[in-house]
Amino acid sequence: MSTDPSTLLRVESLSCSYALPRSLPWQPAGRVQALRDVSFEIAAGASLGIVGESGSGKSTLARTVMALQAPDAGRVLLKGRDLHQLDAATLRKARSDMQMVFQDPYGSLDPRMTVAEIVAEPILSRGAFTKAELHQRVREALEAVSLRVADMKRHPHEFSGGQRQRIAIARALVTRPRLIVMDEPVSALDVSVQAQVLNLLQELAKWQGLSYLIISHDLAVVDHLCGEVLVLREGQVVERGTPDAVFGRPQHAYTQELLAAVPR
Amino acid sequence: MLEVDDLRIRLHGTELVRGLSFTLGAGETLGLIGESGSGKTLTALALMGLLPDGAQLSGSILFKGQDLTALADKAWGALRGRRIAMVFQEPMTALNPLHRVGDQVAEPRRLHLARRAGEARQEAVELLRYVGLADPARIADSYPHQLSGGQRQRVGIAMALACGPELLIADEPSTALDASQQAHVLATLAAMAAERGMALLLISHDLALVARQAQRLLVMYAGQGVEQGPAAALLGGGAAHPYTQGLLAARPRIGVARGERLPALPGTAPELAELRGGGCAFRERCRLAQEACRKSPPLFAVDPAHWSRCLRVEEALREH
Amino acid sequence: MRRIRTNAKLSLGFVLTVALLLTALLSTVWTPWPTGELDVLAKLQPPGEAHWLGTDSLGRDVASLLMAGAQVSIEVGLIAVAIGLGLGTALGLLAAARGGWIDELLMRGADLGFAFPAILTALLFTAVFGPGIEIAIAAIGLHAVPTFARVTRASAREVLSRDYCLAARACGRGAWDITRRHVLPNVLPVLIVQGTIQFALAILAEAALSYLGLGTQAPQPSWGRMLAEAQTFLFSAPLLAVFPGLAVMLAVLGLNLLGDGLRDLVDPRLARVR
Repeated sequence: MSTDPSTLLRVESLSCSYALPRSLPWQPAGRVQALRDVSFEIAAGASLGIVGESGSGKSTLARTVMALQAPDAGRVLLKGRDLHQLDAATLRKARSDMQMVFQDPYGSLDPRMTVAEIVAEPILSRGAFTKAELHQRVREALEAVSLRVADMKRHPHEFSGGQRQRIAIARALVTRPRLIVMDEPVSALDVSVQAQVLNLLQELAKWQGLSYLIISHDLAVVDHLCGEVLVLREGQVVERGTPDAVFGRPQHAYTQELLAAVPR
Repeated sequence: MLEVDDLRIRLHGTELVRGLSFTLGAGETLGLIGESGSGKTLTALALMGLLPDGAQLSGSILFKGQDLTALADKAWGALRGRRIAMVFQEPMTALNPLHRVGDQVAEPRRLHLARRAGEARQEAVELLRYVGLADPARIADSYPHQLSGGQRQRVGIAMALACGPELLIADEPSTALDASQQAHVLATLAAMAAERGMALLLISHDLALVARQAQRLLVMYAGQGVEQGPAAALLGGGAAHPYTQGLLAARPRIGVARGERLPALPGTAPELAELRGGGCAFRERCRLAQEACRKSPPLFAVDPAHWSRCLRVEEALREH
Repeated sequence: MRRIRTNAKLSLGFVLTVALLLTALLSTVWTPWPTGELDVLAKLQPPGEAHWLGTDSLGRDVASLLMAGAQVSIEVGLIAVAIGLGLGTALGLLAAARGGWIDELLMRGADLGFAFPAILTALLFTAVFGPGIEIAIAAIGLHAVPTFARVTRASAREVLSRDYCLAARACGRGAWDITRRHVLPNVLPVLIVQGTIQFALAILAEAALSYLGLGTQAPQPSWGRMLAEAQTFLFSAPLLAVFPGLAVMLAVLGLNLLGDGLRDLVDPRLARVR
């Protein structure tokens, strides 16, 4: 099995299940299959969108790809290396290539830390930077998301939802990753702010050659930013293809259902 | 049925709703569109008498001739849940996690209509069926945490409808839901309103989502109404205010301008505490802004039923 | 409206607590009369010029004894709370972070701890180690551990469920780092509130124990013992019981109000974040 060097992320037959709480201690715990045999690939510089609703397993997918949770079966290969087989130290280094942006701009930032501390966190844990270098990196990241450098000393509650999401994106950029995994990046934002953040994401992708793995229930968001789309339902991929193909000529009944619900 | 005239709400020294006026008739659905900071939630709370301590109201809110701004707490008790009801954005906050769902839906009927427990329970199950929940008897026996987000939101709607209110206010009822459920819930609400002759106020930050269900739309910005008109007209290219147009244009749409920059409105909504000296609150972000916009623009009637608070309405309509 | 009420609580609590602390501090360098001095001729005097609050059955100055008693109360309170906080927080964090059987074990242990009233714990200790102030401190301190553990665990679990802790893991931070940098600072407000409440409880417990003769031993002054001694003279010199009782009440009231006021401060701030 050779891996094409231009493949950034490769997910093979990923399966994951959860144990349900037991009603009685001696009964075996029931299991819920969150992901069934999910496979896909993202080439460097390309973006993949996963359309999924609640219960589709999308959050589990995000966590498994980010190696925050172990799968039951399958592999997650980042730049050819199986993330779940790496030891803790190597995994930590590998994380600098892959960062994540979460859905909730209010919950994903520690309210007691300053913006500078929040944005610097991914590189702080590597301990390889001097104070000046850290400062420089944070500045770069903040400028990339159009936040003022003066905002570094402030706390999250002083910012609006859209600005907080920008802080979260800056945090994801500070390690100069190749891939950013985003779980509903704009769902919690007002429509006009959504547009601004989407434009920012697009710009960053072009300018820094970033790849995105975007998980969203909003088809239009995925359509706008991604070159390939997967439709996830109850842990399984039911359809895949380019946005044109999947949204223009949907084959699966579920995809058609989703499309019908989109306003206008 | 509902007449709001020059509603002003002041909180902590800042005027957050600055002269809002609109009417709503029985059986009508009005979409109130506004983003964070527009004052839409405060307006909803004012209609339910739920404004926080320290809020100062002026202007008038006439509900079937009765002025709600002057109402005492006790009188509100008879109105709330009975004649005016609200569906909240986050279903979990409206539901008590310690009580079964059926009991919570039955409660308004027991309270206001003095129904006995058994009867009320039956009626609750019927309500749950009405809002589109499959297997309503089982759902009535469940606790909130055992239900999905979509189910909880429907339960919230059932609770609001329990006493057959004349006015229903839905504050961002679909924001916490998935895309496919959002349209569904809104459609359900609108259908029920039409069926029961109920006035429905749909509040949302997403114009496109609400426009399909509402007959009229009222767009709010920085505490004021900036455009009001028939939903079909606004959606079909007849939006007459640059902000409304901006909102419509900023939404990504499938298959449209893929990979290109979205025409996003620059900047953010102004801090109401910092607004000084009249003038149009939108002028900093407006593509049509002029010197004259420093003075508060008057309402300009595009049609008898359609107005826009903009000096440059004609250009706005033309360029669209 | 709510802010004024909070401030009144907070201000009053603050004032009372500071008064308590200052009195205790002052008593280390000065009291109106030396606490050990017996003025046998002036036994059981009512409040007067020479002795502001009167004298007890041995001729000791009540005011001085009260002040010195404050010292003891503070000492016991501080150390006991420190023990409870230190141990309890550590265990609570462990339970929250590890989950699984460690969590179960620690929480069942806490349940067991709750089942023992402070007095019983003190009695057991006394039976084994003999009476004394150190034993009292140990008993009260240990008794506070389950409460702190519970409170810390609940708060820590809530913090750990937030996205920012997940984000920290995604950044590559280890469990210990996350606990230190994210969980502790966010759990702190809750701990401070609980600390003041436990302080009040500790003072109450110390008074109860010395009343029973189990805590502070003679000749060290203590409010509890003053109450015990005053019992015999309840009808001849009732004020002897009133003053120490009042002292305990004011100290506990002050700390409780402070704790309540702090809790109100913490809650609305969290809610106002949006």
